[in-house]
Amino acid sequence: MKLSVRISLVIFLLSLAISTVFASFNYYYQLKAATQQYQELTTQLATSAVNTAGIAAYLIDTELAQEVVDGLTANDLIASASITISSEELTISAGESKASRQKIEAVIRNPFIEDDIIGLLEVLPNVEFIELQASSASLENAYLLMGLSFIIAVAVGLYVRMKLTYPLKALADAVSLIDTDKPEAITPINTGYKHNDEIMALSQKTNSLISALKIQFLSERELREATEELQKRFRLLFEQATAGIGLLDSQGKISIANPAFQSLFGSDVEGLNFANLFESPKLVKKQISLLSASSGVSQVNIDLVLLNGTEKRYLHCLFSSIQDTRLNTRAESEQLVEVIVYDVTDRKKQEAKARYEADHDSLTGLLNRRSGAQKLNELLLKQHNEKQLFALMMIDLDKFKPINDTHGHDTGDLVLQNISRQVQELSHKYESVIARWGGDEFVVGLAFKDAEFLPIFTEELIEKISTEIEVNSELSVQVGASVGVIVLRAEQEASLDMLISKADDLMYETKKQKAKRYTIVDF
Amino acid sequence: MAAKAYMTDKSDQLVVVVHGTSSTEALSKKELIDIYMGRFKNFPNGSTATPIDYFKGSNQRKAFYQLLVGKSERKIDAYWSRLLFSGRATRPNKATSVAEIQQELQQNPSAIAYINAANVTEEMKIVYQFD
Repeated sequence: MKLSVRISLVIFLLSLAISTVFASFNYYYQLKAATQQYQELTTQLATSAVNTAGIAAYLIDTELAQEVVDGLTANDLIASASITISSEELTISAGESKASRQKIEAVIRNPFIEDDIIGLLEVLPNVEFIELQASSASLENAYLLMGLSFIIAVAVGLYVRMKLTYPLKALADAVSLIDTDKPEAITPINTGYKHNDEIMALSQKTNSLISALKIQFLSERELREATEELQKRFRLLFEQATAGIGLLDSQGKISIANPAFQSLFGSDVEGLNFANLFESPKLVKKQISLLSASSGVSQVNIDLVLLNGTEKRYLHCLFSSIQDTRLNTRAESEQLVEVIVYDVTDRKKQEAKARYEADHDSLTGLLNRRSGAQKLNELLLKQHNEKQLFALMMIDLDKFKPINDTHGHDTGDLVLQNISRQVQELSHKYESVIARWGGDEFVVGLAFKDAEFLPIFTEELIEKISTEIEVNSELSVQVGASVGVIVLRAEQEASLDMLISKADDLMYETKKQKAKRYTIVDF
Repeated sequence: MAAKAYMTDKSDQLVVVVHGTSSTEALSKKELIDIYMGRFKNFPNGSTATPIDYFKGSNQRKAFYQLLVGKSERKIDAYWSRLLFSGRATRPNKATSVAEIQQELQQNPSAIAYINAANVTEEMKIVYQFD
């Protein structure tokens, strides 16, 4: 129900109730007063008749007495009247006599002798008539009062409606028109109210609240937009990062993974245990477990190899422990681990290639002298530890220089490559090291158990080297080889330089003897 | 005061007289009022009474009613006017002079009248004196 209607209705009901109460009181008061008044009137009528009644009684004039009582009862106020003449025991009456408490009695005196009581005048008021009259007069008053109340209620209601509820309604309408979804469009309300009172104060206060709210709305939105922008950038950073970024929960499960991370480990890794992605989960778990608050270690890193099908990926993983600051209480705070993964496969490959190039002869693909010496030392150490025989062979090509001079370096290079491949194919089957020691000098280190094996191997080696090489369809060339072999037994020890030197000497001696192609000597 | 004045001068005092032959010897004031105000038409002993009044405006009349019922002449006239249509009571006959009263008193044995004490003759009998 609308406020104005309610106020009007309440005022009306209140005034109706009040006027009803007052009208009731008034009614009874008026009724009493009117009754009293009518009774006084009756008494006055009786009093005015008592003199004539006295004369009638004095003269025992029944006609006059009858006239008097008839005259009294002719009045509406009087129901019945009677005159009793004492001396004659005679009563003259008129009207309907009824027993009533309100009987009015007046003694009839001798008109000429004051002390002489000669009769009695009895008058019975017409109670019903009096009450009816009094009641109708009182009711009229009551209705008048209620009618007046109604008019006042309507007038007050209209005034309140005009002066209070209309301005309030206008204010409420203006406030309800405010669209909080568009704070920038909010303007101060203006209902056109001009009186300087509470409604004006309310209107002004509402305006100041509105403007305060507007400022807050706008600043909050600005903040929100800034936060969203920042969030967008963070998201971009996270999603566009080349490094894989993931977040592991306290159980080591992946809870968040960026696209780079997913491209490394698969798109559905979220929820999987990070360590189980690798071949040795225990190692990874051990590294992660180092990251505990008590140990004080906040970062660990590890290089891991991921077998993605047949392809090997080298990954550099950086683990950092972080606290979830969104959770307030210490009990709730979870130990989280951030893992940043760099794919270092390409770098590893480049490194390997560089190392290979540094270690190998670019022409033949064999170990060069420096790395060859290193590998030979390693093999020598191994032979000593495993109690095996060790043979160091110095191979020098025969008739190579004429080929180089006659057919050019390209042909020479081709010959060297071919021979290198042949030697590698042969020694590959055994525990061996082959290096290109000089221009047409090769060194082979060989670890073996059976002493009888060595001459067979050496002869096969020379056979392979001496195989005719087809340079092209018109040219085939053939070289030979002189080989010096020094054999070191298991219990013996010697430096590589010494062995090389001995083998070199043996090779030169062999070269001098045209018929012999190799010499094997025990150290 | 007025009564006192009459007492000093007996000749001016009003007395009520009847015919000398009347059986009535004396009347009380109440009996006198009843006769003059029309209540009874007889003397207490039953013989007819014919009250005689003075003409309107005479001093004796004024004095008589003042002494008898303490009322003015006007009030007495009003009393009789009120009873004009009733007919139950009749007002006393009015005499125009003292001589007429004297004559009436001589002629009518039932007559009763009031006169100055000085005018009482031997044919009259005083039945009431105002004191």
